[in-house]
Amino acid sequence: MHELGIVKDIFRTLEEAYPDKYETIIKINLEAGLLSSLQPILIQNAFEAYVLDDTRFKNTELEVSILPIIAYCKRCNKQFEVQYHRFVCDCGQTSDSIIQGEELRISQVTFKEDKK
Amino acid sequence: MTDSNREIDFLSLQWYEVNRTVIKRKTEGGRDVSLSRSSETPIHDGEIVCMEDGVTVKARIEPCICIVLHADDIAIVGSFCFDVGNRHLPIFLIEDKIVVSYDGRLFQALSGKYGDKVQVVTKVLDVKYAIKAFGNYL
Repeated sequence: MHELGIVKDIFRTLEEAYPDKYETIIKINLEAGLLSSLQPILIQNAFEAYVLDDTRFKNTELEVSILPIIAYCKRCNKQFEVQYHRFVCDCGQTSDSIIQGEELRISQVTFKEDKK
Repeated sequence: MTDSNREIDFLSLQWYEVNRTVIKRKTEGGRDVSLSRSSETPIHDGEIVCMEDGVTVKARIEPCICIVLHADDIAIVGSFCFDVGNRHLPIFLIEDKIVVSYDGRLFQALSGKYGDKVQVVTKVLDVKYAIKAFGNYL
């Protein structure tokens, strides 16, 4: 529910990481897990509001990818994807051992000169 | 050239991308598409997003995992919408059921409060089903 702050943090992080070519960013890829409490529609709308204000990035894309929930089954010693919120392995064992799903991360940044 | 002899191609979009102002990606047929548009008019499923060289490209909104409320009691429906609205999330009305995009934490909270009245299913969250509040286009 604080998505505009998250978007500002993303741009701040990228400015610190790439001070020389920060303004040439044309695409930002984000990955958000289904347990991250981040709804992609809100981050996407916050991004559009941000670039409306900071017109240096009016042609920049934000692409959000959803990461499924992956849990770990101790009985099978393997990972499985949680589908339809069923934290149950194929073997019938329940699991609350989360391997993936809580992340929110910048997975890729594309700069103008990177574009082929 | 008539519509009947134009090739139809599809641009795959997630439901939450319909307000994007810049979209550059390949269509399902492998064509590069570059859209630059206003965010005030969301893209709907099946909308023509571009036409060129005998090809019509339509948007295809991909199905996604959703939370559906199964309740006829107006008090429960109202309470559910209040809880979801408190998180600023868009609500959809599909086949007379209240539908909201799934996230794990939201489902935990809603199922804790509404029990088996909330279920997880796959739906296409097209903007035509969105319940719009004043000043809120999605």
